Amino acid sequence: MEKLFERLFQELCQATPASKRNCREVARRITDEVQRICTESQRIQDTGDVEGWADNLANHRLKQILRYLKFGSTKGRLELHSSLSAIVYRYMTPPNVQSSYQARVALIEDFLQNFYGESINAFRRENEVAADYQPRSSLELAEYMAFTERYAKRRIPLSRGRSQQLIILRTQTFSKQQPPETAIDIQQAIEGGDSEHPRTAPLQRLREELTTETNQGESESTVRERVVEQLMTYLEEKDQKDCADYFSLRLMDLPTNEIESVLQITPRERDYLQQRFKYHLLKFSFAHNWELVHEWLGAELVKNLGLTPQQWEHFQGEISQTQVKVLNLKQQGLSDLEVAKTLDLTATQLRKQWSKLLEQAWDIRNI
Amino acid sequence: MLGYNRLILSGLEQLHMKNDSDNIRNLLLWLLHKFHPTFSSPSGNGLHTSEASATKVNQSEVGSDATSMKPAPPQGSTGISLEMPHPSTVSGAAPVATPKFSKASSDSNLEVIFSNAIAQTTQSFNFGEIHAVQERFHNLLKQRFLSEYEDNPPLFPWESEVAEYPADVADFGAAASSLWDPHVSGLSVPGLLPEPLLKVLFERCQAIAHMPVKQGIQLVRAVEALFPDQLDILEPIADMVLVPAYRSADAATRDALTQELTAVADDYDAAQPEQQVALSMLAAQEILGALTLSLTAEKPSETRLWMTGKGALTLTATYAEGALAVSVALPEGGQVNLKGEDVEQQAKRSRPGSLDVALARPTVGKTYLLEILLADETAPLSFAIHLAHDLI
Repeated sequence: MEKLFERLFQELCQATPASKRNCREVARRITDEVQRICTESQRIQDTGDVEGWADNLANHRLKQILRYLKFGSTKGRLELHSSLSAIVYRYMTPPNVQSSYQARVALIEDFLQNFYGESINAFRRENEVAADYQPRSSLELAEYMAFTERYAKRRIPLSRGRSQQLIILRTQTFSKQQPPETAIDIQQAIEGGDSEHPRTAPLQRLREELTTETNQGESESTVRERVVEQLMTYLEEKDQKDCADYFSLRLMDLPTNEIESVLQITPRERDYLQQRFKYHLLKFSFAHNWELVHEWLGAELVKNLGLTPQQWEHFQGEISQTQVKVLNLKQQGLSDLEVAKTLDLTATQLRKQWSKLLEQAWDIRNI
Repeated sequence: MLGYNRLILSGLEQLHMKNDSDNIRNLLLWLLHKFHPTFSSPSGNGLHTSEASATKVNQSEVGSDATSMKPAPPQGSTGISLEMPHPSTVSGAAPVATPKFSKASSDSNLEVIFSNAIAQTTQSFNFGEIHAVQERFHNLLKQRFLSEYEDNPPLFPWESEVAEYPADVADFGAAASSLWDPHVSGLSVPGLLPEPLLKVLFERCQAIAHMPVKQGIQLVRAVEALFPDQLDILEPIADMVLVPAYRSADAATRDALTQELTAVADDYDAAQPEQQVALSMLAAQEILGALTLSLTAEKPSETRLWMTGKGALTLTATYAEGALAVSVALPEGGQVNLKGEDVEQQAKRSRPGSLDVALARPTVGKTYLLEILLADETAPLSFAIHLAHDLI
C-alpha cells in the first residue's frame, strides 16, 4: 500500500498545481479508503488479487478527482449538481401537487443542499479529518466533489440480494416525507456497509417498504431490450435524435408537460415531434425491423404471424395473389433477394408488399 | 414514402389515435407488449389469460460506481411511480386493473385488448431499467440541468459565494505549529483556548490579517467558520468586543474579565454560543494585533519579537522618506517576501542572520503582506504591515 501511496502522490504532484503537502494528504486519503475497501470486501479477498483491485479502485478515484479539478470550482459543481439532479429526477415526486418540471427542480435543489451537508460530514467521518474540515484548495474541492459523486452512487443493500443507490433512497425518503427514524435506520444500513453482513429484521422491513415487489423471472426481457435499443439506434441512424430523446422520456413515463419542459419545446412542437416519432415507429415495426418486433410480439413468420388457424385462412383469402406468393416463399426460408428474383419484383416493391401484408395481419390479430 | 404514410394513417385510424396526446403511449405499450394469439380471438376468451411476462432486472445502471465492490446485485424496481400509468396510482401498490381510455375509441374489443396490455405492462415491464433508455434519459436531463443551473450554481455548505479555490492550501497560511504556537500560546486570551480551536483560529487570522477590511468585519471573518449556525450573533458581538472598555479598563476590572474568560475557556464546550463567540473574537483580536504592524506619522517604525520553536524572529518595519523598509532577523536560513497589490520584493539567505527588503513607493492607507519562510517549512508565517493615511 505504501507503493500505491507513493505512486498516487507522484501522480498528483505532476497533474495538479497543489503543494506537495496537499498532494500528500489527498494521496493518503485515497490510499486509506482503498485499503479499507479491500480489507472489508470478502469478494476482493477471494480474488487473490488484492493489489490489482487496489490499483483499479485508486485509479478510478484519481481519475474522478482530476476530472473535477480540470472543470474547476464553478463548472465542476455544475457537473455534479446536474448529474445528481438527473439521477434523482424521476424519484422526486412533489406531494399533493401536480407534478411539473419546475416543481421537481425546486424540490431537487432543496434536497441536494441537504445532501451536500450530509456528504461533507461523511467525508469528515470516513477520512478522519477535523470535524470542521472544509476543502481549502482546488485539489481538495475536487476531492470533495468526487467523493460526493461516489457517496451518492454508493449501493445500499436491500432485502433479497437487491441494492439501490444511496441518493435514490434518500430522495424517496425526502419526497415521501418519512419520519426521521427512517433516516436513522437508513443511516445504520450504510454504517453496516457491506451486503455480506447480516441484517436485522426491522431494517429489512423498512427496505421492503421502500421498494416495490417485483420478483419475476427474466425470460423475454432480452428481446424487449433489443427492440428498444434497436429502435433507438434506428432513430439515430435516421438522424432523428430528438425522436430518440422523446422516446426515452416516454418510456420513463414523463407526462407531456414535463417532456416539453425538459426538451424546452412548445406543446405545438411536441405534437409535431410526436407525429414524427409515430411515423418512424411504424416504419420500424413493419419494415425496417419487422422480424425482431414480430418475434417479440410472438407473431413470427413460422408461427403464421401469430394468427389462429381460422385467422390464417381468412388472411390468405384477403391478400393478393402476389402477396400469397411472397408469404409462401418467405415461409420456405427464401431470402428477400431470391423472392424478388422469383416473382420478378424490385427490392422496393417487395418491401412494400411485405409491409402491407404485415399490416393486414396486424389488423386481423387485433380485431 | 407514400406507402408508409398510408400505412401509418391506416394504423392510426385503426387505433383511434388521432389528436389524442396520450395515445402514443398506448401505441408504445401495445408495441412493447407481447401479444398472446388468444388475445386476438373474436370471442375474447383469452383476455384474462395472465401471461408470465417477466420483468427485466438490469444489472447495469447509469451512474453506478464502476468499481463498486458489490457484485452489482440484480436491482429491484424502486420507482413505483414509474411503473404506473396514472398519477392516481402512484402511491398505491396494486397495479391498475382498468385504465381509462379515450372515449373516442368505439371499438370495445380493441379497448379491452389495450386495457389488458396495459394492465400487464404495468405489472411486468419497467422500461426504465433498460440501459440504453436510462443512459439517454440521464444525459438528456443532465444537459437540461446544466443549462438550468448555469446562472445559479449551487453552494456547498461552508460557502457563502461561488469562487475558484486557490491552487495551494499554503496560501491560507497553514504554517507549522512550531512557527507560531510558542508565541501565540503566550498571548493572554489565545493562551486560554483549547489547542485545536486555537489552530483553526490562527490559520484564519493568518489568511485575513492583510485584508483591507474594517476591524469588526475582520473579527467576523476570523470566527465565522467556527460558528456556522450562529452567523446572526457574530456582528453584534464583534461590536461589543471592539468597544475599548476592556483595554482601557483598570487592573481590577481586567483581572475580573480574565477570570471570567478563563472560566469560559476551561469548559469551552459547555459554554453558551455567545460566550464561545466572544472568547474566540477576543483571541482573534489579540492574534490579529500580534500579526499586524501599524505604522503612523506618530510612530513610523515598529519592532516585533516573535517566538518560534526554532528561536526568536525579530521584525522591524520602518516608513521613511516615502519608502517602506523591513528588516527581519531569522533564527535559521529562510526567505522574506514583501508583497503589495502589484509589487513584490524578496530576500533569501541560507544561514541565520538578517534580511532586508524595501518598497520604494508604497501607497499610504494600504496594507502590505510580509511572508517569512524558514528553511524547513513549506508554509510561510504571514504578517501584515499597515501604512496609516497620515504618513507622508
